[in-house]
Amino acid sequence: MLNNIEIVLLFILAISISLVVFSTKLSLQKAYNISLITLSASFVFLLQDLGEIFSTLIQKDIFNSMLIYDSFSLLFILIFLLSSAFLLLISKEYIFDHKYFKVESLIFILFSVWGMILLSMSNDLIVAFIALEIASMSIYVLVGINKHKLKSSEAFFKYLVLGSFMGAFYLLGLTLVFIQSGTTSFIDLAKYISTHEIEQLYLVIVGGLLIMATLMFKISAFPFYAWSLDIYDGAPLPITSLMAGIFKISIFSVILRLFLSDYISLKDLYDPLIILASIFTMLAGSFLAISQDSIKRMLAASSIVHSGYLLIALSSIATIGDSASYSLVFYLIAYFLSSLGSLGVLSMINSKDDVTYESLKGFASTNPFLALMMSIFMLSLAGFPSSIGFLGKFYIFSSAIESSLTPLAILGALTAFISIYYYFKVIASMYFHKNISVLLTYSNIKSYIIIFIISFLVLYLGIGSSYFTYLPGTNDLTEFSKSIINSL
Amino acid sequence: MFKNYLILSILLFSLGLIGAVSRRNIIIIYMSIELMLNAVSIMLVSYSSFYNTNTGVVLSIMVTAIAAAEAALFMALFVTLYRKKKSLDTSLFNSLKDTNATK
Amino acid sequence: MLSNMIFIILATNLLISSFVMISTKRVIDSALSMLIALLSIAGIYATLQSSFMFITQIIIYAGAILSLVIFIIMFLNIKDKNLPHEPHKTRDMILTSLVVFPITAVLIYFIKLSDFSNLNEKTTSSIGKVGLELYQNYVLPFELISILLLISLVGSITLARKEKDV
Repeated sequence: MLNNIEIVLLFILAISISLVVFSTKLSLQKAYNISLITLSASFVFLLQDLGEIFSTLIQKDIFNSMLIYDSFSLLFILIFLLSSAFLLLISKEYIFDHKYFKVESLIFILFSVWGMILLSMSNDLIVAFIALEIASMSIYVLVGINKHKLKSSEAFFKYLVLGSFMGAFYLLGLTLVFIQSGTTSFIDLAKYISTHEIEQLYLVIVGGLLIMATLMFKISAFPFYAWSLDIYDGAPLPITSLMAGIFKISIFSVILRLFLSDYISLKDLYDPLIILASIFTMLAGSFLAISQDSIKRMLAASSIVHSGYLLIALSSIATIGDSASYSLVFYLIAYFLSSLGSLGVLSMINSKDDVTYESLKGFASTNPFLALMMSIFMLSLAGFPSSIGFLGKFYIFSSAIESSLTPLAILGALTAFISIYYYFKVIASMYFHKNISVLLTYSNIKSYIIIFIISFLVLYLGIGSSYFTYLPGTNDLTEFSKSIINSL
Repeated sequence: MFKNYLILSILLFSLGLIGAVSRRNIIIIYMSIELMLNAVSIMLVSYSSFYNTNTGVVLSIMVTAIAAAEAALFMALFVTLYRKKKSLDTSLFNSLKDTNATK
Repeated sequence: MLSNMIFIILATNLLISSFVMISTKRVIDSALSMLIALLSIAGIYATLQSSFMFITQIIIYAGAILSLVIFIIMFLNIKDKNLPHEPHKTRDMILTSLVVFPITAVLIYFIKLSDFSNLNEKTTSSIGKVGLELYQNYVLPFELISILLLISLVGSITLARKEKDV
């Protein structure tokens, strides 16, 4: 008998491979419909696993406990499937309007989601790396899909060279861990670390550091943040959304699994480095975001700042453990909703050039609905009270204070104040200028509905659920995030 | 003796690292990255041989396969780069930096 | 004693040829010294008595990947004037080595420090045992690699294909 998740994995894989085979015969419309149905059907199918906390090893005998399926990975898998389906729905017009989107692009979106699902389930260092490569190689190709634009090829070049360069560090780290401990499995590694003295762990520590460096690169944390702005800018908008929103979350899922299940006894060693990384990530991201002119680059730079907030939560895990990790999970949900929404609104604007603050002036008078939605997402990203972003920041900062990292929490609040400047500048230029905006928008009713649903979720999970106490809401979400941590 | 192999592969890795960071020719950068992966492979195979297991060899097959997968994408990259710029110079690709203007 | 001598010769050869590879100006010189480096690595696998990796190294790296690189160099017909102009190459390389040196030193220091107990004598690993290990314990990564290769195949065709202007 197959588990539900195995059926889903095989289903998505079969669909993507058959799309590869029939890619010349299918029209873009048909391929779009097929991939949308695949993603949403898998989402609906997996919803039946919600509920009880569980943890199973997939095909334990054949796969040698290399894949694990638990409530923790289920939450992340649901996020990936839902957000990629939303992404396709929101950017439908964008995909059909830009001729460089072909059937292949949809195949690579499916493959990257498949790799991310596998990444959140991986229970072994080498499987995690191959899953990471599957997801990121698909994204390399997607970044360079617009061959007629120099920027796009250039982003592809940068991402490919830097990505495979950092991949070599991961492999070196894996090897150092392996030659010391003789295993790559997370479970055996945890056993090895807890039963050996520090003298026999040097190479495990150094190897873990190299592995962390690669993962930090993928979430564009401090020493490696500079690349991400150019790459996010060069990629087509839906792909930027895929990288900044969904891919980053999948990396955090594997970081959390590594941290909570294996490196428990070594967390103290890594903690100062993570604190340092989070401080500089927040500062550098804020500095970059202030100086940008184009909205897309600003959102890309601010996603670096959000990585910094997530690293705060990661560093407080060492002291207070579980309650910090649920704040991280909650913030990931908040971040994915807001960034998907804001980049989605941006991709609904039909413009040859980049959308800048200048060209957004008077947008509220020509398209009040999208302007309102954009303002809601900006408020949520800035962490304004009554939005989900506020609650997420609140949980992260309070868990940082609880673990006596008060200066870090203060710095986080400070960068949140700075972020109000560049987020509110968007709202100000949309509402407080009398110019008539020349920006045209796509008018696809489905995309509007999805944008509305996302903004509704942002507000409902932020404040609304306290009015409707009989409906599931924020408290249930935090309870759920707490419980899934226990399934690790 | 085992440590000599490890040190050799660390030295090889560092040589690859220097090449990948300091050169501007894209094909040489690619070959330096391959060199880094080969260094990792040496480490894994020597582990396998000194500890009398086959796991290291299997992992180094994985590393080789990953290197092959990256090679395919790099070949596509060389072709697109050369078609656009008629050069292999990575520093010519800086149009993204130009838009980084602060006003 | 003899095997030590062979190891030292191969290692010196490997390091010198990889240094030439990263420092020479013309791509084809670099590719050919890469070939020597890869063959020395194959020799090192032979001193480790790993017959399978020895043959894989020669067939896949020296045979397939490197000839692909040389083919691309020929195909693009790279002239000397199309090579990057690198006036500060030596300075850049020295500066980078100064940055890389501490990393190398730390790694070597930790390797010296850690003790590897219960080392065996070098033993020959047969292809059969490698295959059993691959299919018994590492079947999932093996299958995933095939998908990774499919993705990179389709991806490189998608990217390198010429298209009409739109």
